[in-house]
Amino acid sequence: MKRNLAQVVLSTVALLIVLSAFLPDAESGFGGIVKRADSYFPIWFSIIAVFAFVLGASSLIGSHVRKIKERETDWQYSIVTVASFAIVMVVGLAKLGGAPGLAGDVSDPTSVLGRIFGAVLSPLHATLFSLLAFYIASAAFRSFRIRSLETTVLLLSASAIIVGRLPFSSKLFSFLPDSLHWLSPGKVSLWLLLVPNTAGQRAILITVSLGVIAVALKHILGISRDMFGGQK
Amino acid sequence: MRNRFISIFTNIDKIDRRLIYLILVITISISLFADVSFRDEPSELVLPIFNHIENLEPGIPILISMEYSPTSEPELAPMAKAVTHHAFLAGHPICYMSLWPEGGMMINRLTDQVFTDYPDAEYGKQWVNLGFKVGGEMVINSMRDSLHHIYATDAFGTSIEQIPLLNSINNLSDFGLLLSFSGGTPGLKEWILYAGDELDIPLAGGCKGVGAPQFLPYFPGQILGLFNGLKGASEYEAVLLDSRYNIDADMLEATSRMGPQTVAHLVIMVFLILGNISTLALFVLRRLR
Repeated sequence: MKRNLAQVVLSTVALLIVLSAFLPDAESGFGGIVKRADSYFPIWFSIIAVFAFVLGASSLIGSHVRKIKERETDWQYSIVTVASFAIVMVVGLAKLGGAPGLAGDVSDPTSVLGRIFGAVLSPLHATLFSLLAFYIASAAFRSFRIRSLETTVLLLSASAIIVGRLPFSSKLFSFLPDSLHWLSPGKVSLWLLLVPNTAGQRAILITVSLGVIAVALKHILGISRDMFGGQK
Repeated sequence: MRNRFISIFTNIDKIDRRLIYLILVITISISLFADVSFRDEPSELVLPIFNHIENLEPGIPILISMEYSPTSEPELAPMAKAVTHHAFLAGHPICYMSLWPEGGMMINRLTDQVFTDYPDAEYGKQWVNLGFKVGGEMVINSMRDSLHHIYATDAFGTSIEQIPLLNSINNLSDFGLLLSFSGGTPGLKEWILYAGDELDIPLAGGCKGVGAPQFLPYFPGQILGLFNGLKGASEYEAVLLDSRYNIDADMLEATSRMGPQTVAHLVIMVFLILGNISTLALFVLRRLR
């Protein structure tokens, strides 16, 4: 029964959203109902999305508390996770040091949360991401080699992109006559991105979209109901 | 003699990765401390964005959605900064928003930096901060019909009705340009699917250098232009610095940040050349044996 009800809700909402894209705008009649429903669904979605945060948080805490209790591998890190979560949540909810009240700006840089963000989260994120540059340099050195046709193509295109992204790349190749200017790395790199890349990306996008439509239809029509759980 | 060469090239071929890291650290540090920077040239990806803002009638608002966190801030913040300077100097009010929880902090950081250069800029008239709103693409979907439907207050708790700039804005169609600086999902792709394509409003955006291949299929049909990583921002700064506006290079960031990135790219190219010379040399020497 519960699963049937969920299926009815899913199919109704999905059909209304799909119809809203095809029906012309109308103020009354069926078109009006669809239009009104379409304008309300995003607000309902936003409300549900807030509950998803609660669900995510409880799942995170649940799994880490269990890890600590059962002394699983690296359980000490779970203490850091739970403690950080608790501190940030209390500080954020109470809006310590910031504008009080429900409508107060939670991202106020002068608040305690803002300071934690600026002094802890921000440098940690930036540090972790900047480390990638070093890994990429090492990986590029080892993998971009003339070993086969494929690796040679990879090497040439990667080199064109790297050199093409230098601010002075067009000056470096200014010696090329006008008729050969298209060979400069800046032009080649842009061509690689706009032509072969676009062709490949569009092929992937269209194929994935067709797959998404097929999966969505299976859910809307009730052919696949595994996402509701409880299926044996 | 041949064995000696084989030994040299083998050593280059198997160079310790820690040495690569060390050389990168040294060269990037030197370029940072020496303030190495190179003036860029605009590409066909950023020029349409600049020209569109230039051709917009003064007073038409621009929406800047900042979907990034500190991870991608070094690449994306300079884009938002350059566009903010341009829009402000061209007389376009700016409305900031974010679909990422960290975005609110990113907006505050940006506006704190930029608007100190313009002490006369009036909040609520020349710019407004709507902050972060949960819901991803559904927020965009809702804003298509009505901005007031989904935002009751701005980021500071002021009622939308009390903000003069927002009185003239009913929905996304009232903006002259939508810009999404996108470090992931939801981001520029969602803006294309749910706003640009649906309403046929001029839309552009920026992304990290590694993310550009994903967005280029939408150019130039569905997006007006694209800031392709930090280089995109530096290209935009080059146009801005050459334009009619009296803007100081110190107010912008991308050009100076491109210095260390350029040096890092050159170091990588040197390693690529060395690696391939050693591979080829070893191949030839072993064949001659």
